[in-house]
Amino acid sequence: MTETITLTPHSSSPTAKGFLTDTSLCIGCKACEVACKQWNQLPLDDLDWFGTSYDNTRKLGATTWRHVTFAEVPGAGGAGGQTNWLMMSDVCKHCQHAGCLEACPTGAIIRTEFNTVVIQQDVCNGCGYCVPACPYGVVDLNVEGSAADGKAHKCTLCYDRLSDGLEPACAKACPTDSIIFGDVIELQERAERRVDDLRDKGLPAYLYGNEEAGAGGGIGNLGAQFILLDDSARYNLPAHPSLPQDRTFGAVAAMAATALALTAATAWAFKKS
Amino acid sequence: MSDRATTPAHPAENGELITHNSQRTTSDAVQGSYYGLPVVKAPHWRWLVITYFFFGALAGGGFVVGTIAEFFSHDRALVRAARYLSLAAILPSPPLLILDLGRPERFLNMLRIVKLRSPMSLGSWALTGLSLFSGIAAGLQILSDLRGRPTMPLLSRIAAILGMPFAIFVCGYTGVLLAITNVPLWARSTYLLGPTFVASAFSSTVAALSLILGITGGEEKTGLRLARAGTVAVTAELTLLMLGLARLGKLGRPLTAPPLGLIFWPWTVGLGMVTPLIVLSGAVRGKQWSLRTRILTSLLALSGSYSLRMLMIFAGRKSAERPEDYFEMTDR
Repeated sequence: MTETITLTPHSSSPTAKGFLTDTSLCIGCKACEVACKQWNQLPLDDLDWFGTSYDNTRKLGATTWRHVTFAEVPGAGGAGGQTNWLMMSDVCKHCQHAGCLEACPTGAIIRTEFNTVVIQQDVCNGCGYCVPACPYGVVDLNVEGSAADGKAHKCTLCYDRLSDGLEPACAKACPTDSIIFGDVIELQERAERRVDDLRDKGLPAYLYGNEEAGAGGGIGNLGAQFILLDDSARYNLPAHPSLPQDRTFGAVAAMAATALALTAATAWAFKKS
Repeated sequence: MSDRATTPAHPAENGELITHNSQRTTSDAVQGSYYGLPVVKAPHWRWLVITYFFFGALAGGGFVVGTIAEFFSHDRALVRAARYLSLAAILPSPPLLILDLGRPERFLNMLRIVKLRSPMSLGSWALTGLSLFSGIAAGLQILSDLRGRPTMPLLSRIAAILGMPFAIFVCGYTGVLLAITNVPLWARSTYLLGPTFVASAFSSTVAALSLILGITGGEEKTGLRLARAGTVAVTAELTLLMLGLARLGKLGRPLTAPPLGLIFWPWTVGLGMVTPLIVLSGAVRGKQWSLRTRILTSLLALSGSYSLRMLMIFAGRKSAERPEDYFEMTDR
């Protein structure tokens, strides 16, 4: 097993591959969801209607690695006025410093030669610690249903396709090029131009996935970035998440200090007679 | 997948009306969240992990208290009980953790790598180390008891010291493990959860020892020593827990508000901490306490320790389901 843990930042690594998801172009067709499931042979999720939205997928999970959100935002004019659709294809962010990767006690989660984050299925033992470690709620254990294998799953950024020089299935299938695959450095430049364009047109566009919005906080930049048109919470994305493991040392130190103080106090309690 | 063929193409065909999530409406989107759907995910841990958290605290705590008693009290009965407690509590721990894995047969993968920033990795190694040293200490204790005289006392003392870092870690890393996540209830009080669990480990260990030595008829002096240690530990536990709740503020509600709050306040805090504190501090001040009171107090403190871990896990699951809490935590 070769583990390539690259510490080079995304933005400066020429080999970093990633996504740019431009929500201003998303039409909510879910072709990405379908292409992802087909290529990666992921089973259908339990069919269950949301009831108040077209988003019956609802979340990323062990067998859903692309998820199209459908937020309805009433626009000007009040009731009966124009409704704005905010559609976005959500995906694993392939963080520069990934919470799941740092949490994984088996080394199953690795940084690949493409600077993406992949879970090695032959190593994962299903401890589940990567699940709450993800700041975006992406990783999930497959423990329910007949396809359950007890292991953690998420988007691999189509590691197998990348190895063969192909682009990921979702980007290939996207009919509007809302999802673009490429070198992270190039995608960032492209995103900046596009954000400027959209702003010129009067849209409140911004890039999600860097220090200013969506990442930073120890996470660094995201390998999968998004151009958003509204508050990130509208897309169920946190504005300023942080990397939990940056707190490990302090938490262990506080714990050990308390233990030492209590050891001393107990020694006193035992000795005094 | 073939199993999906049995899924009805449309729930309405089954006569099911769409009521799911009906309390969540598009107005939630207006208020700035996404239909109230969770942002982060909680771990799958339930009873196996909760029970391990409890035994791990006793395994680590038993070892720590045994070492303290060895070097500071020369109370052989106390040392013996602590060593046996540590071993007895460590025996079920690995099976509980292994059974909780999605792929139990791969449990040894935990030991193929050391990751200093992952509490799960550190904890796996600490538990392995503690198993070794607790095994040595308790094994020598068994030999001593069988032969009626100390067996290799120097090795026993060396093991008692070398095992301390592992034992201390096992006592409290479970709190750190929860803290180093994105679950608001656990993450927001990062630097207090580990200390709270450590104090809880001390208090439950002292309670368990008081129970064992009470039933087996230990010396009265030992009982007093434990009452003193227990008073300190429960005071620390209660103080740290309250500081943690103060730090959490609104984010603490999954634990402190109904439904879990209805268990948390009367049981965990009232019966599990405040009641033992009153009885123990009374005993320290020289008030007579019957064996019955001592046993009951110990059991209450132990149940408080178990319920703290249980509620912390279940409240964490609720916390993760509240996008408003996570948004508040990540809003800066």
